[in-house]
Amino acid sequence: MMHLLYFDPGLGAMIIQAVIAAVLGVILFFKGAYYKFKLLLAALIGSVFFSKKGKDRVKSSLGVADERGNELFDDINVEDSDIENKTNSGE
Amino acid sequence: MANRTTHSSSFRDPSGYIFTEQGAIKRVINPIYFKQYQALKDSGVFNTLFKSELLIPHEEVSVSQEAIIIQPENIPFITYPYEWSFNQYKEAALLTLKLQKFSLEKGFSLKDASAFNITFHKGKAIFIDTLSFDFYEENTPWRAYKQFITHFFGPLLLAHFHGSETLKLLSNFIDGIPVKTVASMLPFKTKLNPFLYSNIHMLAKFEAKHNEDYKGETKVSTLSKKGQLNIIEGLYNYIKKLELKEQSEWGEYYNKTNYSNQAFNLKETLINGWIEKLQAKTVIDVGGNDGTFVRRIKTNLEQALVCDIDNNAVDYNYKQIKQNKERFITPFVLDILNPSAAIGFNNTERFSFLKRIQDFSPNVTLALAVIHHMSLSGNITFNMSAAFFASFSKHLIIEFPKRGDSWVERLLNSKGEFKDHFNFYTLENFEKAYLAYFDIIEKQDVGDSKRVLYLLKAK
Repeated sequence: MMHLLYFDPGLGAMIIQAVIAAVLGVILFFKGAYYKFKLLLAALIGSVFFSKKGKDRVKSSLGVADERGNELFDDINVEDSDIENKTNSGE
Repeated sequence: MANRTTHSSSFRDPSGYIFTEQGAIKRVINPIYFKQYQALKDSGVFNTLFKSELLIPHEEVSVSQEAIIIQPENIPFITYPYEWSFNQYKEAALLTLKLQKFSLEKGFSLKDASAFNITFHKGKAIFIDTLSFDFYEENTPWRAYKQFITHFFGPLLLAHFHGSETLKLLSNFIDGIPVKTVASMLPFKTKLNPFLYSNIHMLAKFEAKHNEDYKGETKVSTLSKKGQLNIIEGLYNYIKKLELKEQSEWGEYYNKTNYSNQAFNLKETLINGWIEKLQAKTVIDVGGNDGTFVRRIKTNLEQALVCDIDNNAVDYNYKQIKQNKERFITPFVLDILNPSAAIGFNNTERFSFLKRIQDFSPNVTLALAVIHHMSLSGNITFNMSAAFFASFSKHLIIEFPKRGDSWVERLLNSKGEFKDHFNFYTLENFEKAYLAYFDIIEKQDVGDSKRVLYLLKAK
């Protein structure tokens, strides 16, 4: 395959990505495990409180609260609901 | 084909080039890129990105065996990365990563990650290089990764640790800030962070180690799509949380001015009346802080540019635009005493601020409480500032703080024994100089303040 590349991608940068991906894989694994642990902890402690407000307070203090909607930037995913309209690319 | 001018920045990518024809920006796609273009169109990638307002929409103008010509939606005023506030820069970086992730999911990949591929339009960052998408080849690393680090991640990290002024470095490093430079400027503690160590310090070492492989003998390692997605998502999450250490005080700016409520309201009424009378649709507010005055204009504006020297003011304006979903304001950082210069090869790849604002030619320029800073802080003579304002706008609304105004006195007192040099700063001298370039349409004292508001028309 021919790539229409018109600048130097950097040989070091091309090699290192496998290393970075491995480092990130480890970080993400432990982050995920830690998050799940906090979630479990929140569920256990939260069950002491009967109100939703109480549960939310526990979740917030453990850093596992759902903060969507309060942020300046959204998540990384592109809304893809209109993908079925394939043949007409705006022309 | 008549009157076709190739855009002076569009010479690097063999996939195509941009040209202007009768004032309209169009893009030629060369046969070498036909397959990619068709695949992007057929797969619905273009359509989805248009609807999400992540990629500038285009219309197909003509198709032949030699070239496909498309016409992108017009963007009235292009801002460059070195004119963005910190959060604008963040949005541009996140948009690039978002597009790369989406591309990978659809079997494509961004072949470059230049910050100049993005500008701000209708209140948000938008990708403007339609030909940046290439086919993804299984198990290959992201070829634009280093460019992303040098154009986005590096500058943002430098801004985080050293302040927003470092974002202007890209005007000197048009191809991105070198990784070794970024690494050398980061504090030692960043070497203890596995994410920063691998993405910056280790990358700098690898680049130094392999940049002398003239024979091309070093083998590039493979990288799974999942691995690449880990990198993309890791960068996205890190950048999303990145903050400036500078304190923002601009939310309180208008509480700190020396205006009474009565004078402030009168100023607003006067400006609104003049804007309405002129039926202005486009304005630039020079030294417009957080956009407060532009938001007080009652006429429906199509485009309002608001520039200020202070990153925090521009950032505060930008956050309001995002929160209020305002589409007509374009904020940017600009030092009016040293506006962005033309840069790049032949000094024509990126246009100067003056060239862009002259092309945009706003109906009205607002210069509210800015002349005393230009004259007393920048030593710009009235003649020079008048010539400057007259060069890009037919009408000028300018506010003159007289001697005795607290800000003027503060600036004069800071001059010490050199204070007498600024004896020229009088209303009479101001009018005399400006009348060489403008006619006075209206002139009004602003209530109990020591300020005078002028509506001027260029001769």
